[in-house]
Amino acid sequence: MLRCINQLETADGGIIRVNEKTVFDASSSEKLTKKQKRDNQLQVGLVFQSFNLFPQYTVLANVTLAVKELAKERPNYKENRRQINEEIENNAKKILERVGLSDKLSSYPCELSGGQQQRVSIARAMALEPKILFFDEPTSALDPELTGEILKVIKKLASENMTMVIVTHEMAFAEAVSTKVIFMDDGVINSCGKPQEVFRLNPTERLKEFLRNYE
Amino acid sequence: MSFFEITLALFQGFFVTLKLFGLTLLFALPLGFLIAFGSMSKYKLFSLPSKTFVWIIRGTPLMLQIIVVFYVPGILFNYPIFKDDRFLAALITFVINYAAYFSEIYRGGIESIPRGQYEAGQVLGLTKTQTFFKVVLMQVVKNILPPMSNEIITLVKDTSLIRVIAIVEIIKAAERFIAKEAILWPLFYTGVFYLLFCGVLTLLFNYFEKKLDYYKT
Amino acid sequence: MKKKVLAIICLALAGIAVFTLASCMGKEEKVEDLAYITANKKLVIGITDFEPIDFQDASGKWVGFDAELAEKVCEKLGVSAQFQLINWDTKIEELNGKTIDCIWNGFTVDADRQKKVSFSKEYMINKQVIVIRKDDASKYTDIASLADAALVAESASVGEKAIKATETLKDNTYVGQASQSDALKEVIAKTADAAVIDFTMAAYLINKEDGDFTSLMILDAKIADDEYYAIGFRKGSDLTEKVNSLLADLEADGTIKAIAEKYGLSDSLVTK
Repeated sequence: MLRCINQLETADGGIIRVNEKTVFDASSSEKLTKKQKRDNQLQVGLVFQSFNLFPQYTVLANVTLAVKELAKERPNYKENRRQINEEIENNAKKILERVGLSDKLSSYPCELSGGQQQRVSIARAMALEPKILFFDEPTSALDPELTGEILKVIKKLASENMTMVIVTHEMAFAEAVSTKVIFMDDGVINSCGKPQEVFRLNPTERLKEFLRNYE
Repeated sequence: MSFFEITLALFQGFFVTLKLFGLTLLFALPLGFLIAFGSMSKYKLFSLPSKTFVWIIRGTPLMLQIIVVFYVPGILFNYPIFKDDRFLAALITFVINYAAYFSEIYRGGIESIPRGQYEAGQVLGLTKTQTFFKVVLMQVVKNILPPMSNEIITLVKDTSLIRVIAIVEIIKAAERFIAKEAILWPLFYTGVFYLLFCGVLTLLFNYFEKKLDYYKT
Repeated sequence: MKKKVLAIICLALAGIAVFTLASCMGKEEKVEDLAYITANKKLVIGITDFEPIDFQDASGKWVGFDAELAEKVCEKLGVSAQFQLINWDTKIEELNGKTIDCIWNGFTVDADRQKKVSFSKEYMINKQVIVIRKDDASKYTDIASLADAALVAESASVGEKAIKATETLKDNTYVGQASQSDALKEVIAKTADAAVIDFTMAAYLINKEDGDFTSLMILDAKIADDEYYAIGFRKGSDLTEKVNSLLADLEADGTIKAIAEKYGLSDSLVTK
């Protein structure tokens, strides 16, 4: 589902709306231009399960690369190039500080732990200032020990009122951090609502079974 | 003839060797890219000719290809294109042959880049071109450097094949001393030229590999 | 997919077959080479390094008996002579591929070659001769006296064939050397007593005043039938006839004789 919203894959049918705006409509015959498609895509950010950082760039360059490329399309880019790039870098440094990586700006991804890499990847997605940030199982490629630091970052972002959609198996975490929980089984919504309702008040049979296996 | 005179004569032959080496690289490196993209295309119209081409070129000996390119225009079509420029026949054959080999190295390098890199580029709003040049290309270069250096060093020594169409490269230059002066040692002496040149190339490639060693994929 | 691959393989094989067939078929029709070389304003002559027939002087100019004769013929044809170094193994392919226009390099006439090329009239005799050290002149006087001599020749050459065909010499100690000049070196080094090589080359090397071979001599004994050199043109070429008439002119006015003297080959000329 996340991959459809981010347009990495094309849905077979239905409509995808983000912030009241239709970004995909299988029944509509008119094709979106590449530019429109990209604008829709930039509404949302995606953090991958396997990070997918760019190995040849430093942490800072990973975060600024896409923003700098986008900035080239600004009308007054040529005259203010230096200023714009400086702005972008300062902004990126602030974001990296928020995820706790101020001391790793010039490191390469291969020099970082999995948890640090995932935090870079979160920073990279945030640098484009998406309206919603999607996480595709952000901790399942990590050691349980490293999971904590990612969850901490997400909690922090939540407290700063960042809208996030997280796909995860970390049930306790989902209950603690989320405002709304959707439990999906085999691609179908099994139950949905406030975490309190879904987990405690009336959990479905399937969810109970899942929680049993999980514990 | 003195050692110095013979060295000088061999250098003239070695110049032909180097000229073929340099010009082959100049044309085959970009042509290989075109063929690689052809082979990777989803359209049969491009991929089938590319793959067939690579199969034929890699499936036949370079020496045979040189002979075919040089003799066929005159024997079959009564139009000896390369009558005045044998070197051109050799160059065309080498460019075609090495472009085919390079294309396969490029293809391997490009296909070894994980899908996640392209997806990351896409969700970050980079266009396909930006993703290729800013994200993928540098990783491809790092991946293909060892096989490329291997192939390029092979090229140095393959240039000796052009003497089948009587072009005086360094080995042919040495063989002429056997006929003219009845001396054999210049032939073995050519080995020194090859060794030194390949040594320089090896150092150069090591330098590039070191330069790209600052990260791991 | 399998079918396609099969089709491609068939196509490739068919291509190779057509090419091979086409190159095998001898063209018997008249070949208009005279017009062709006149249009090109040059005659491309296939040669190898072969003293005193074709070789480069210090300045890189091709000289030698054949080279100078070719210059004279081309002058009369009104074209320039362009000497092209070739591999002797592929001389016929070069000729048929039109990358050269003739083979003019001490090219021996034989029945096999006559099927593939058009020979001009024979202009030089080449015989196999026995070369010995001058010091042995009294010891070796004819073929019979060579019974205990160690022999040397270029391996797979006419000279080697001649040794093996001579009843009294075929069981002698024998070494097949890499080239004719190497065979002579063995005689000088006394690792062999007699070499069997082309007269043309033997005469040139032995008579070269500042050369290393002046201590050798040619034994006055016949070991094999004479052979003849001629110019090879494409089969059916109209150049053969034209060049034959030019050679007759050059012979009549003494040009050929003068060139032969220059290279010590006067005794080898074919005179009719």
